Amino acid sequence: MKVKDCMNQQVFTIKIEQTLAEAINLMVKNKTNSLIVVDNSNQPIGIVSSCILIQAIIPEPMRDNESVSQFSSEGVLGKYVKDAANKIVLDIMSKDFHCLSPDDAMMEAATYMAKDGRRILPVVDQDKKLVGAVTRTHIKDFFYQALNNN
Amino acid sequence: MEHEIVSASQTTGAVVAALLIFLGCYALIISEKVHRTIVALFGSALLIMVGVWIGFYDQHQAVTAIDFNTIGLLIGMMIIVEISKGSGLFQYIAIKAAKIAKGDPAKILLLFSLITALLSAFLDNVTTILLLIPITIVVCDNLRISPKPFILAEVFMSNIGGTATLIGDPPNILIGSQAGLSFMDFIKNLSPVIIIITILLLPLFYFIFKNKIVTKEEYKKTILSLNEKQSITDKKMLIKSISVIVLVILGFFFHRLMHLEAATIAIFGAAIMLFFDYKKIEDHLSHIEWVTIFFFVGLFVLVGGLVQVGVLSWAAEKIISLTAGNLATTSAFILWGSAILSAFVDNIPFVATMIPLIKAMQPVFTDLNPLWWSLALGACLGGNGTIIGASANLVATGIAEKSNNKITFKEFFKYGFGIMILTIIISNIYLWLRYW
Repeated sequence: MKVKDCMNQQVFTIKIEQTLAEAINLMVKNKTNSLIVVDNSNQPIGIVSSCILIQAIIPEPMRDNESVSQFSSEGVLGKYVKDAANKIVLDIMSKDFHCLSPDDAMMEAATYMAKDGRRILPVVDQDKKLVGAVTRTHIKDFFYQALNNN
Repeated sequence: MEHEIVSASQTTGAVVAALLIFLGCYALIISEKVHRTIVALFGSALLIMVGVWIGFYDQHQAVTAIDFNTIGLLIGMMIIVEISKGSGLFQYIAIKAAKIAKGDPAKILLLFSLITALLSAFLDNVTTILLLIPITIVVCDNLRISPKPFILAEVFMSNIGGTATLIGDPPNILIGSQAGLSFMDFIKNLSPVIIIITILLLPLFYFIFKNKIVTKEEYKKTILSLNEKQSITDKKMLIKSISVIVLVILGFFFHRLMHLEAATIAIFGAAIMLFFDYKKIEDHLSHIEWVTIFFFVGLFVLVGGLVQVGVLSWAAEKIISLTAGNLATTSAFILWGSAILSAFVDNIPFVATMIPLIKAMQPVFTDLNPLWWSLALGACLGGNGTIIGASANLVATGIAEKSNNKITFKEFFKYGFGIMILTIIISNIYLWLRYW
C-alpha cells in the first residue's frame, strides 16, 4: 500500500503571519489537531499541532518544573492563553517534519511518524507543493488492516 | 592540594603567539558570538599545536594544567543536585516558608532571599535559581503581585550566598583548589562578611520593594491553603538525598582533617546518590553539564599556556609596582578590579587567569591569603553588577521573560550595580579590619 492510498487530500493549512488564536480557531472549527504551515506557493514550511499549542501557552519554566503547577492560582491557565494569543505561527511552529510523496511506501510514513511529537506528515508533489497529509490515525488504520487482513 | 604552576620566560614569538590566542579567545567569549565552550576547546587545541611548533607548550604540560580537583568537585556536586532536585525538597521549603510568612509578601521576600542565600552557599547558584524562581513566580501569581522584586532579590542573594563557601560559586572552587584553601578556610574568612552583608541587605530589600509587593488579605489566604507536602514526589529519595547532602557537607567541613580533597568527597557522595537511583544512571549522567565541564578543561589549558610564556608573572610585577608592593593596596586593587570586571565579563576565565598571577606575587607577599579573599569577594559579588555579570542573573531573567515578566538590562542595573558597590565597600572595610 502506498501513501496515496491512505492520505487525506483535504488538508488544513495556516500561514506564518497568522496568530496562535487563529490556529486554535481553525483547529476547533475543522475538528483537527494539526495544521500545516505553508508559504505563498503552497509548499510546507512547518507544522502546528495541539501539542505545539500547549507548549506555546504553558511557560517554559512551568514545563521544566511540572510539579510546581499544582500550586498555581485559580484562572492562571486562562491568563496564559490570553498572554499567548497573539504569538505568530512563525514563532511557535515546528520545523521538524518530513515530506512524503504520494508513491512512498507506508513503511516510510510509519518510520518517520515514529519520532516523538510527530502526528502529521505533509505529502507533496514533484514541485514540493502540498497535495495531502498522512496522520497517525492513517498509520493506526493501516496497522488495523495489517492485523485483520491477510 | 596546590596545583603546581611552572612559569618560564620564553621567546618573543612564543609570548606573542600565546597572547594572541588567549586574548582572541577571551574576546570571542565576551562577545558571545561563539559558544564559550567551543572557543575554549578550539583555543586550547590551537595553543597546544602552536606551542609544540614554537617550543613553549606541549600536551603533557596542557594536561598538567587541568585542575582535576575542580572538575571532580563540579561533576560530583552536579550529580548530587541533579538527583536531589527530583524529590521536591526545594519546592517544599519554599511553600512552607510562604505559609510561615502567612502569605505576607514582605515576609516572603525576606524568607525567600534568606533561603536563596543559604542554598547558594551549598549548591551552585544557577541550580538554586532554577529550583526557586518557578515556585516564586507561582507564589506571586497566587498573591496577584509582580514576581520581579522577588526574582531580583533572589538573584542578588544567590550571588552573595554563593560567596560564603568553597562550593558556593565556581570562582571559589577554582581559588580553593589552586590556592590550597580548605572548606573551613572559606567559612572562617568569607562567611562572616557574607553574614554581615545579608543582615544589612534584607532590610534594604524591604525598603526598596515594599511598595511594589502589596496584596489583598484574601490573596494571602490562598497561600495558607497550599499543601507543601504535595511537593514531595518521592519520600524515600527525599530522605536519601538529605542524608547524602548532609554527609557531603560534613565531609567538606572536615576534608582537610581527613587529608582528602573536596573532589573526593563530592564524587563519593555522587556515587552514593547514583547507587540509590541506579536504574536511571544514564539519564542522570547525561544531565551533567558537560558543556560547562569542557569549558573549564579548555580554559585551564589556555591559562596554562599563558603561564608557560611568563605573561602572568610579568602582569603580577606590573600590579605590584602600581601598588608599591603594599599588600592592603594590592588587595583593594584586586577586590575592586575583580568586582568591576566581573560585572561585565564572565568571571570564571577572569579568575582562572588571576590565580597564577596572584601566585606569581609570592616572592613579594609571603601571605597571599588576603589577596585570595579579595579575588573571591570581588569576582563573586561583582556578578550582581549587571544582568550579564553572572550565569545566575541570565538564568533568572530568562525564566522571568519566559513567564512574561521581563527584566531589562536597565532595570537590573538600577538595583544591581548599587547593591554590588555597597557589598564591595562592606567587603573592603572587612578586609582592612580583619587583615591589617
